[in-house]
Amino acid sequence: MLTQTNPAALDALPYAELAAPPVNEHSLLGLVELLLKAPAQLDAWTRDSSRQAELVPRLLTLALTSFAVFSLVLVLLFHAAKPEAVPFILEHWSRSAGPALALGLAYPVGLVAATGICLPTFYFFGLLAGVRISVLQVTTHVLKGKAATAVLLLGLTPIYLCITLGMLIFHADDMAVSAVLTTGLALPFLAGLWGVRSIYIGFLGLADTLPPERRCRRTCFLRRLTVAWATVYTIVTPVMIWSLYQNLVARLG
Amino acid sequence: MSMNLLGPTLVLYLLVGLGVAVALYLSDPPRPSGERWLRLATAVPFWPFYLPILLARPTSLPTAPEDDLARTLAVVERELDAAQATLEEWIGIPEEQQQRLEKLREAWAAQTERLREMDRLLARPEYAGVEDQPSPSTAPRVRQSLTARQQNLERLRQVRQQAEADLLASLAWVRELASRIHLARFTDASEARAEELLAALASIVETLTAPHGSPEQVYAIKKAE
Repeated sequence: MLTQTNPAALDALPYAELAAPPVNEHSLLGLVELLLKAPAQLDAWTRDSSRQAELVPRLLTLALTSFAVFSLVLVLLFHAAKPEAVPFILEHWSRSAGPALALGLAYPVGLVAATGICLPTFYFFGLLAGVRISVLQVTTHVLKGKAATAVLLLGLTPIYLCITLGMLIFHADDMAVSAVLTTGLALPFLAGLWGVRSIYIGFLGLADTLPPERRCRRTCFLRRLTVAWATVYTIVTPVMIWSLYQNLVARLG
Repeated sequence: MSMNLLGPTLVLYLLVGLGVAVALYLSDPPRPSGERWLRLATAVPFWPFYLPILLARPTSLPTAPEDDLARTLAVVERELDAAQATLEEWIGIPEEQQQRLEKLREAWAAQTERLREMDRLLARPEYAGVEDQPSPSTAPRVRQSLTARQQNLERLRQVRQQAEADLLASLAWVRELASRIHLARFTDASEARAEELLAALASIVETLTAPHGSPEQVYAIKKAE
């Protein structure tokens, strides 16, 4: 424990050992630890071309796993709730397997697919601002933001589960349950703000590739473009999830 | 009549995904089979994220600065070859001088490799990123270590710059001597002058570590390339 350590011994430690905890970057848990404890280290890795090809699949797997766990919890809660308490936005919801499967797939696939749709925009925005960046680097940055969202969502899920389960067990008012279930549908977007922040910080860090004489003006432009991209992404994602759900429900019954 | 485009679009999308997955399978380095299959399984539906990996692979290697240096070295070696050929034909090059010129080439290669090693080290993310600033709450010993680390890295960058300047100055000096040799040959200079130029050329190996060239010379060779 840190509090039990001799302060003199702590002083003698090299800074690197204190600043960057040793993590296994090859495991998903190691990546989660890195996202939480040393995001700056991960930002530096996203700029390392030799690590990008390794990071992309891992970040993607982390995001998909976390979103899948969240959507499973969401489906189970919707299943446990009365049909009257289900938010109106979920048309055709029933306790059969079709809508459950549709909702379970719409969230993980929709959240990641929306990122894929917005990826070229982000690359062109970067070029427009004059940042020296490759498509692979943009992909890594964006997936890092997605993974940050996924980690926060995974952290919020138990809290949300406790609250909603409590309301269901104690037979809370249908309106209240409906409000909580609607919040559940919006939870990935609230957690998404953390991911947008992660992308924003990482992308603005690339401003050091701009020529010094134009850096200040261009950084301001880059900041605006990043916010614009986040806005576009925030609009595209719910539309994507809703469209996927509608199409899947229509096909799966 | 309305057209249902979803089915055909999905088929096309998944076909591209299959293509990307096959390409990934063929180009991926060896890795645990579980990880490999997971990559392939996610590559089919989410191929837009894997496509940049496939496209970036040939260019993502950090070779650009090394290639610049290698190209510069190749150009100067060709000029040295030409100058040696001129001298051989004109006055003949003694064995001892031949060996010194060979050592000069070896010294260039060693210096280039040393530069590349330093570049690779300095390009590592832990050294290439923004320098850590100690916060006021940092313990004194840690702050001291952090400052010393930054100073060492700065010194390493200076050593790298000095090594590059030395190498480029040496190359610039060889180019100048080579041009003098050609000039002397075609202006009917004396053989003593040719021997003097050969001696100057062969002596560069002994002074490679000490910079010959002025910053103007270094700039000139960079500009020339």
